[in-house]
Amino acid sequence: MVKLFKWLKKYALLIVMLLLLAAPSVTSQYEFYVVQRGVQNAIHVLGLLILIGYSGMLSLGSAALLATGAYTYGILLVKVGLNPWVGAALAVALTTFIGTGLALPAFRLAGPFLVVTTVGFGEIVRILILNMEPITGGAYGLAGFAKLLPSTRWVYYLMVAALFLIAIAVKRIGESRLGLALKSLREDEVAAEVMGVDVRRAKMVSFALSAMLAGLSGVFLANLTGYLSPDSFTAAESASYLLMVVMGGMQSVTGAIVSSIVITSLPEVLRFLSSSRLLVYSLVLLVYLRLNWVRTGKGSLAGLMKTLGFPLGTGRAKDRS
Amino acid sequence: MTAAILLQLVLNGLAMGIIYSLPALGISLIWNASGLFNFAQGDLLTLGGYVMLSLFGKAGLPYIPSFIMTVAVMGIIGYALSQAYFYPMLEHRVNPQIILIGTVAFSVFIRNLVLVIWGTTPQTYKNPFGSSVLQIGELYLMPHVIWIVAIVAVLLITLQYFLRGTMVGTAMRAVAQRPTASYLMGIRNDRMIALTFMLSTAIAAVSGVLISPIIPLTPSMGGIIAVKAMAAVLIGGLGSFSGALLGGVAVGIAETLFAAFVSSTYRDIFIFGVLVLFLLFRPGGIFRASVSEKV
Amino acid sequence: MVGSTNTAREVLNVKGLTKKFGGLVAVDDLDINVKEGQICALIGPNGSGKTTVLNLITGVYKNDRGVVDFAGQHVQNLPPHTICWKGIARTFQNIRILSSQTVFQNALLGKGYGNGGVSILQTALNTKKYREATAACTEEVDRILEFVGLLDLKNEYARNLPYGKQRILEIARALITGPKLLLLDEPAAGLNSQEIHALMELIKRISERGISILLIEHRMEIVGKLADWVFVLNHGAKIAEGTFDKVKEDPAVIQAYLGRGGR
Repeated sequence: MVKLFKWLKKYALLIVMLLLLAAPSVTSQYEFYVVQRGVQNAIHVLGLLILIGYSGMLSLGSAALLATGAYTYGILLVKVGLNPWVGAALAVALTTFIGTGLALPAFRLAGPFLVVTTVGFGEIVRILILNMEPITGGAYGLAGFAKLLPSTRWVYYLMVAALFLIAIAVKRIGESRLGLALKSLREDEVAAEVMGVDVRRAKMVSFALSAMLAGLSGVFLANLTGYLSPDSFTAAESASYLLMVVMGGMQSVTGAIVSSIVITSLPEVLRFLSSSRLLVYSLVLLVYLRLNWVRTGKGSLAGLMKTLGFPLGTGRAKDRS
Repeated sequence: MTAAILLQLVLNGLAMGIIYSLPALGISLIWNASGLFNFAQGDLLTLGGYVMLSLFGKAGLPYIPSFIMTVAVMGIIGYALSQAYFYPMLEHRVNPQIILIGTVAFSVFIRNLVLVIWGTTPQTYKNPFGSSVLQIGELYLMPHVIWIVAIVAVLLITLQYFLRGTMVGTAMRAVAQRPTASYLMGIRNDRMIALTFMLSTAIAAVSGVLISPIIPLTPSMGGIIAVKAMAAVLIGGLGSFSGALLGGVAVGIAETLFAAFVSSTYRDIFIFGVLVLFLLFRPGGIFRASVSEKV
Repeated sequence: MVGSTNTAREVLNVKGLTKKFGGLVAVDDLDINVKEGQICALIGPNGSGKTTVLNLITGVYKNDRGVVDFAGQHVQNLPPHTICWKGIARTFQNIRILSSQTVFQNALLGKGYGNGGVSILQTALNTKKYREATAACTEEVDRILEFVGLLDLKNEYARNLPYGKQRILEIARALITGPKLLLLDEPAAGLNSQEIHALMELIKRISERGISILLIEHRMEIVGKLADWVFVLNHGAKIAEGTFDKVKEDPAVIQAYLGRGGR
């Protein structure tokens, strides 16, 4: 049994990917849509894993970066008439650029100060989208842009392939010297900079990478829904992405992917709750934080399972501290 | 004429600003006592507003008893929140980032709880201060503007006396400054921090009750106010009593003037812009708070 | 002991260093010289500004006035990581290791991210250059861990190390940066006599590698045995300097310590 668990843990990422590849064949059309959203969220959440999990910089403005990616893609296609691939590339580039700019306040601010700044950034982007109606469609939303690939299914496969490559890259970054520098920001910034870690550069890299993935996720979101509205990018949405990172164990790539997909599909499984999706999310998060951190002093899915008496945690990276 | 309009705008802004000041003060008090930044402060305010709606608007109790009951109920909720949730985390020295996430989760939870119980439609109840406009010289004022300013002024003086002049207040400040030493002096830290939560939640509830004549109640109302309150507390200086007060008033007046003279659409962007400038160039706020500790 | 170093080149040359916190003058017009291969000590009563001096030299604090020259270059008010890359490394009075990382990872941190490393893309793609750079780093870290005697604990989490070993780990992390000058802030604090003995041996061996050392220390027997040259600080100002034997007879020094109810 123990051997089986070890084997599962080692190949967790591969197993998840194979399951995702099989998903279109075994799910109904609606379930498939939910899985698609899950994969799209996972790309965004891997970016947050770098920013929040590795580097310890809490952001509640991530939905705004997602919006930047999605809207840039939509606007470039609808209003400018660009090719979808060019539009996607430019959207990711612009989001990365703006997201890197968010690192500037992070040079001087930490903790709650930084979080409030990101909340402010999120609100600014939302208000701009809502009010720049000629460009963004305002409250009516934006529609009528083409997909990257003609069939939904192929877009999905593209997304899974992207997720797989990103997952490996994020994992490698986590284990590299860059990852160590990012983690040192979280633990002791002063010690890090005195040891020769270029703190500003590390922060910029962290923000840039997470913004890039948010932008990419935004492009895929536009591809999936075909319609964009400011309501999908509120602070509450940012909070639910935060939930996905935390529930994934804050350090684990596979954990983040699994938690993104599970949490995205949770309201579909718990249909009877309909309007209170976020109520359930937040309650789960509260209970998780309280039980997991206070009892075991550390956080991961595995830790929680241990406290609840289960022997196995799938989403646990080997460098989990 | 213009001077009168300006004064009127400033007074309206003052009333709104004072509404921001109370949750801002709550954030500051909790920060001082426990080093915890409570993102749920605005949603506790919302909850207070809705409890008042049920007691006064729906159940038809008289205004003052409903007010007192609302504040008491919210105070108890604050106390329980600390004892059951936040103090154990503080005691176990959980990473501050995790506790911060916990307060965000509470914010989302309370907002959606309100949504599930009371629904999304904006609700309001009879304005207890009357809706006939008062004319003082060239000034036209709603009576609730004067009442809000008066009630909060009394509340703040009482609070200041409580914190500075009583044993409990002194003990609370002692815990905030030297938790270990005060524990050794026989002060129960958990109770003092819970008491701070109680106080903060109760004054947030006062805001929630007073806000009703100005804007209708919605579940997401607290989120918007919280963002302004956070801006207020950072502009004023985190951890400072006068900073929270002044920051709130400054934000209230500035946004009212900006909305009147420049643009009401981009009012919130203006406030965030000012906040970011403050954070970058005077991160300690008006009353310098220490933002980062070094070696 | 001292005679040979008099002619050696200066590694660190601090002139007129001044730092105020509000109205309080923490460091007052301070001059310090450390020569190549020397072990210098910075002593003084509590609150005399010793740690502030280290924070100023390493760029953690910005100074108000004065010059810090390191190996012939101005380094004052540069960002801390740049100062580190130029060859000044330090440890902290209250240990600041990354407790949730392993010993190896803590030491690796001393390689300093951004300092001629490999690009993000190479990391993500796991290219040959990345693998080679990583292997080189690993080898270097292993060598230094062996030098300080922590190699067999390399995969242990830093928080599980005994206090004394954590201090040694901090020194190892500083050595990985390849310093010409090592600043040690009370390295013996909290150690037992056996550990202190080992620490002193280690400091001597580091010095033999040609690394200059400036150390803050309270225990006079350590200062007496290790230091070639001693600077005495009181209220942020230098009140004496010289060999330990000379300084300990200095009336100003005795007064500074006794005046505080000291030894």
